Amino acid sequence: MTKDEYNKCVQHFSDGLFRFVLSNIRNRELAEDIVQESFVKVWERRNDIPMEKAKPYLFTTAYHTLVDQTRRKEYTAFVSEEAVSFINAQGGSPHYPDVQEVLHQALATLPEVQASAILLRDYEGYSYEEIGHILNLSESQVKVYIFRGRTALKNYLKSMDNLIDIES
Amino acid sequence: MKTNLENYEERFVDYMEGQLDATEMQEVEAFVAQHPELEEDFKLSCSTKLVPDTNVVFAKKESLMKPVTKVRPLWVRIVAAAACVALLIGVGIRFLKPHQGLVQQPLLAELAPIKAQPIGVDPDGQVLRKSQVKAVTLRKAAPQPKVLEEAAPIEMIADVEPLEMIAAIVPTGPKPLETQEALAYDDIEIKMFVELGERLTAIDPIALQEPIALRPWDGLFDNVQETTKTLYKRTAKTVMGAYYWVDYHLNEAKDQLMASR
Repeated sequence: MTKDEYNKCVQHFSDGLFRFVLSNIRNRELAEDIVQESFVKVWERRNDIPMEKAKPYLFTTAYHTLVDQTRRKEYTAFVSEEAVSFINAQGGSPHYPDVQEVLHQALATLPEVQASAILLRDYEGYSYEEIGHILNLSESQVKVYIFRGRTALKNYLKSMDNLIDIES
Repeated sequence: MKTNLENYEERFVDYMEGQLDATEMQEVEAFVAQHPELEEDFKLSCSTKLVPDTNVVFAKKESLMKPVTKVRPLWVRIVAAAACVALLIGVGIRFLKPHQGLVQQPLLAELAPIKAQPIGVDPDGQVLRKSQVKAVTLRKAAPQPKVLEEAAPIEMIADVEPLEMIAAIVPTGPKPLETQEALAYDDIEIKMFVELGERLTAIDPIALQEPIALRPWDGLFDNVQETTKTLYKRTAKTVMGAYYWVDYHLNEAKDQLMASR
C-alpha cells in the first residue's frame, strides 16, 4: 500500500471504524485511541497489506483491540439507564430516532461478539463470510451470533413496549 | 424449510437479514397472517436493524494522514544544483575582480541590426538572418554595465550558426541535443517566460517601460503560451527547442522595435 492509498484509507474508513468502535465501547476517547492504534498498525504493515484488504484489516484490528480493552475494563457492563446517562454525558443523544436510540442502548447489553457481528452487518453491510474473517469465526458461527443478538434486541424492544404499556 | 412454531424466530431473523428468496418470504408472511399473535414479534424482529449515526465522525483524521511530498527527478535536482553553483561562481568573479577601465552603459544605438543575410532555417521553416545572430551576441554583451575589454570577444563568435550560439550562451543550459531528456510542458513554459524576460531586459532595458504601441515584446508574452504548445510538440519536448524559439522570435521583435524608431 502506498502513502496515497493509506491516506485514502484514513479518509474513507476512519468514520465507519470510529462508529463501529464507539457503538461497541461507548467511550469516545477510548474509541479514538483504538481507531488511531488500528491505523498505526496498518501503516506499520503497509508493505504487506494491499489496498483492498485494508478495510477488513482495520476492523479486525479494532475488534481485537476493543475485546482486549473490554476484558480489562468492563465497559459493556452498562445497564440501559447507565447507557443513557453516558450518552448524555458525551454531549447529548446522537440524533437517533426513538427505536434506534433504544436499539443502541440494547446493544450495550449484548456480548461483544454478537454486538460486533450485528454492527458489521448493519453499519458496513458485510456478508456473514466477511464478518467471519474479521471476527475469526466460521460463517455458521456468525449466523448463530447474529440470530442470538437480533433475538436479544427484539426482546429488549418488547420489554420497552411492555414498559410503555404499563406506564400509559 | 417451512416456518412453524418451533423455528419462527429464526425465520423472522432470516427474513429481516435478507437471507430468504421471494418464495420463502411469501411463505413467512403467510405464516404471520395465520398466526396474528406473532405479528408483533415479527414486526419487532424486522425493527432490529441498526442504522449508523452519520453525524458521528472521527475528528482526528489529520493526525493520521501522512504528508505526501513530490519527488523531483534526479536530473532536475542536478541541473538546479549546477545552476546555483554557476550563479555563485559568476557573482563571486564579478565582485572579486578589480575594476579595470571605464564602465559603459549599453546604448540602443549600438544595437543597430546587421544587413539581413539568410544563414539557416528555423523549425518553422523560416529563414534566419545574420541580424538575428547579431542580436543574440548583443544580448550577451548588454546585460549590465560592462568593462569595455569584455565586449570584444563576443564579436568573434558572430558567424557561428544560431543553434550552436544559443547553446553557448546558456550557462547551465541543455546538454547536447541528442542526449536531452524530455521535460514536462510546465517546466518548458516556465523556462521560456524566465528566459524571455531576461533577454528582453538584457537587449533593451528600457523597452518594458515604453508605451504599449512601441513594445513589440508584449506580443511575445501574449503568444508565448500558445506558441510553446506548438513548439513543445515539434521539438521533442526539449529545453533546446524552447531556447531556440525564444531567440528566433525575440530577434524578430527587436527588428520591429528598431524599425519603429
